[in-house]
Amino acid sequence: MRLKNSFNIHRCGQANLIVIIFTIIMFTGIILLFLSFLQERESRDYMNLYAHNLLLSILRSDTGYLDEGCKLVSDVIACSFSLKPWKCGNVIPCETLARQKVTKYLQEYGNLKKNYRYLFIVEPDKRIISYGMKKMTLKIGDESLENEKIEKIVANEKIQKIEHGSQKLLNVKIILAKK
Amino acid sequence: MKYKGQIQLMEQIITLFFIIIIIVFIIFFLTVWQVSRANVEKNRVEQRRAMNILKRMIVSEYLVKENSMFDDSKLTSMLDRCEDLEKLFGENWFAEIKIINGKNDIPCSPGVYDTNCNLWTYCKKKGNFTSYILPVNVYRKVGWIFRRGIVPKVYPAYIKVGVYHETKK
Repeated sequence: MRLKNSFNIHRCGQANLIVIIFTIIMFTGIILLFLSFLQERESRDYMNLYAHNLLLSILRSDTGYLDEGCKLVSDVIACSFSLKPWKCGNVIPCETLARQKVTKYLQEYGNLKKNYRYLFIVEPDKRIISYGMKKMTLKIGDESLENEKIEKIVANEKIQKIEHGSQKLLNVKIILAKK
Repeated sequence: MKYKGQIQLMEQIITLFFIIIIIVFIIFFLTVWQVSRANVEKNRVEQRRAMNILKRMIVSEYLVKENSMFDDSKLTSMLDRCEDLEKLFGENWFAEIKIINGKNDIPCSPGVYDTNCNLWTYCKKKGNFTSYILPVNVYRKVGWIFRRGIVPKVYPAYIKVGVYHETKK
């Protein structure tokens, strides 16, 4: 009889202990949930604006060369898709200069925002048949970003040139993601 | 058997003790959470304000040649006109526009048209702030100087807009 009572008392103590542990776990969960609401997140609106301005800023910047077709970064990008080989200032091929300048500007802007990853892509628009254009894709930056299934922001622009009566249309995009 | 009543009483006291601890903890936690939420909300308001000023500055005809492309002559002429800018964008903020050319900061001075300077600062004072940075361009009419003339140049740049945290007076 005494043994049975002692067993009941022990069981009751264990039940109380389990209830207390369960309550503590529940409260910890609630606290973590509440704290997650307080976390500050950089708004998607800002990242979107940043990506579009970054792309525009790179395309509109000067390259340092003054010959026609080489003045702006957008000019040298268009020139690098041309079948006719052209050297800016008779020194550097368009594609090399385009890669150099885009890489440089991405690095410089990357120093301002070190928590972002960037990928810059240029390809001919498939809807318009452009004669005298290389069928290639120019990729500069973190190429792994293209296939990764993470939250990304994509900004798009177009470069349009008319040369010898035919239209060249290039799709330019920049993919931005947080590190 | 003799101590059964005492043991049960002790158990009830311990349980009651834990319940009181939990209630005190809940009250404490809710108070802290409310205070933190108020601070986060205040930060959000400041962030929204900084973002709003930034969006208005990059299209303001007083400063830009076209959207997101600042005109260096307009920037220089507005350098000592913080009060005028405050009428446009409100008070308690600052803005910095810097050309990214790998050079150290060379602040531009009001009234001096210097083609070597690369930093324009508006309404800056001491204090903590919330800020946003955005890539932009700076258009310089006197970009390249040749014997046969002057050619404009477009530089990559950034704009940083910050809103100062409000301090209780």
